[in-house]
Amino acid sequence: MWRKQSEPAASPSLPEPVSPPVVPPVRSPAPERAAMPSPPVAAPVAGPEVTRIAQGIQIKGELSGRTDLYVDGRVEGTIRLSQSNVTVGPNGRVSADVEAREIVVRGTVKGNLLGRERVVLGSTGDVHGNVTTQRLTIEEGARLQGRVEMATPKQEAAIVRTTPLHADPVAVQAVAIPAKESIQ
Amino acid sequence: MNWGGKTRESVVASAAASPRAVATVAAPAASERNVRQSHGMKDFLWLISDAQHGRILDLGPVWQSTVNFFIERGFRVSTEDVLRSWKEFLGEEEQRLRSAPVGSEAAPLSPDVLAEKFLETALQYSPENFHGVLAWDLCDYFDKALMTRIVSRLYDLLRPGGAVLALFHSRHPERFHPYRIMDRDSVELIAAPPPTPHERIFQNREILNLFGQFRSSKTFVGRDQIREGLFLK
Repeated sequence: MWRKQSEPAASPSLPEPVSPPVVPPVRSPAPERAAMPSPPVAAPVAGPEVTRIAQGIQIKGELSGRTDLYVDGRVEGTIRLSQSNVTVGPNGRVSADVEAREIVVRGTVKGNLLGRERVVLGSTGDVHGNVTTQRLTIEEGARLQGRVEMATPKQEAAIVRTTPLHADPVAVQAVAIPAKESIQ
Repeated sequence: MNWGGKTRESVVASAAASPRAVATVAAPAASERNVRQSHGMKDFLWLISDAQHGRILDLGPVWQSTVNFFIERGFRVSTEDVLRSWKEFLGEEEQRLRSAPVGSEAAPLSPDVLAEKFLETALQYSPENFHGVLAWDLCDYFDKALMTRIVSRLYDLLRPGGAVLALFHSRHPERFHPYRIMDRDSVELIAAPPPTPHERIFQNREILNLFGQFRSSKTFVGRDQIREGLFLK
């Protein structure tokens, strides 16, 4: 149905992957798959590597690269993983425009979502921003404050070319906050 | 009445007085779905059908079926769950008052000020951006100060010829129901906890006054005591 991540296409325009220093990539199946409520919705296919930003971690800046990303912490800035999947977990709080191959939102996102292939708004997902994608799945209970635009691959490519998510990338800054602090 | 130059007899006629104006509640489907036939929806769709790449604003919760329905027909859909936002806004205001130091000048805001403050962040779109607005039965749940401002804001957001579909209960509903579109003339009522209490029962005259800015209006009365109103800018 959709491409596996086993052969990530080269993306010369993308900067080198940014690996948050505090969170090394882990090899694991997509953890959100097990927690997905019915009705069954296909989770993005995890590539061989998933970078996890765990609860209690806060990152400010631009995230880009080729591995899948699971956010259960806090991210402010821009997430640009055009060839990969981004999942915002139930505890994730993202204030950023997000561009990815597939985007699953089960937490909160304040920013525009550009899913090249698919966007899934989970039942606990809360998005304040516009959604542009080819396929959109909305679970009951999801919240969206913004516009939905379904884009063909051609249109989607044009959007990517003409609307840079972040003109001036800022340096990645990882800030560890106490793990017991609850991010609400 | 002038429905944007449209000449369909059923629209020009006084719908409330005609037999076809009666919206009926469909027999329960094989499942436990609460599906409601909606003549208002049917005419709403007809009124906006001329728009090329039309824009729809849905003021209820986002539903897959509703988004699909409009996307498949070439529309762009914006959603804003205004009632939920209002509830959260009121909660934040309450929290602000609770956390205010004793002796401070923090005082409850008047309904008018609350409404103005809420609309500083809600329903922020370009003027004349939408061809149609689905207001569902939200007017029943807002207080008067906010409701009049929201209707005025919707008027500004609509393009000339654009339409608002609103529902009004004729008696206090037993349950709160968000709506989602099933097909072009039926909507499904989804049982849900009410975000805010049901505020009022509108009389016909009150409805007409509330939407007084609009060029014309049309109402359908259903057997389930829900009135559907179509208001044309």
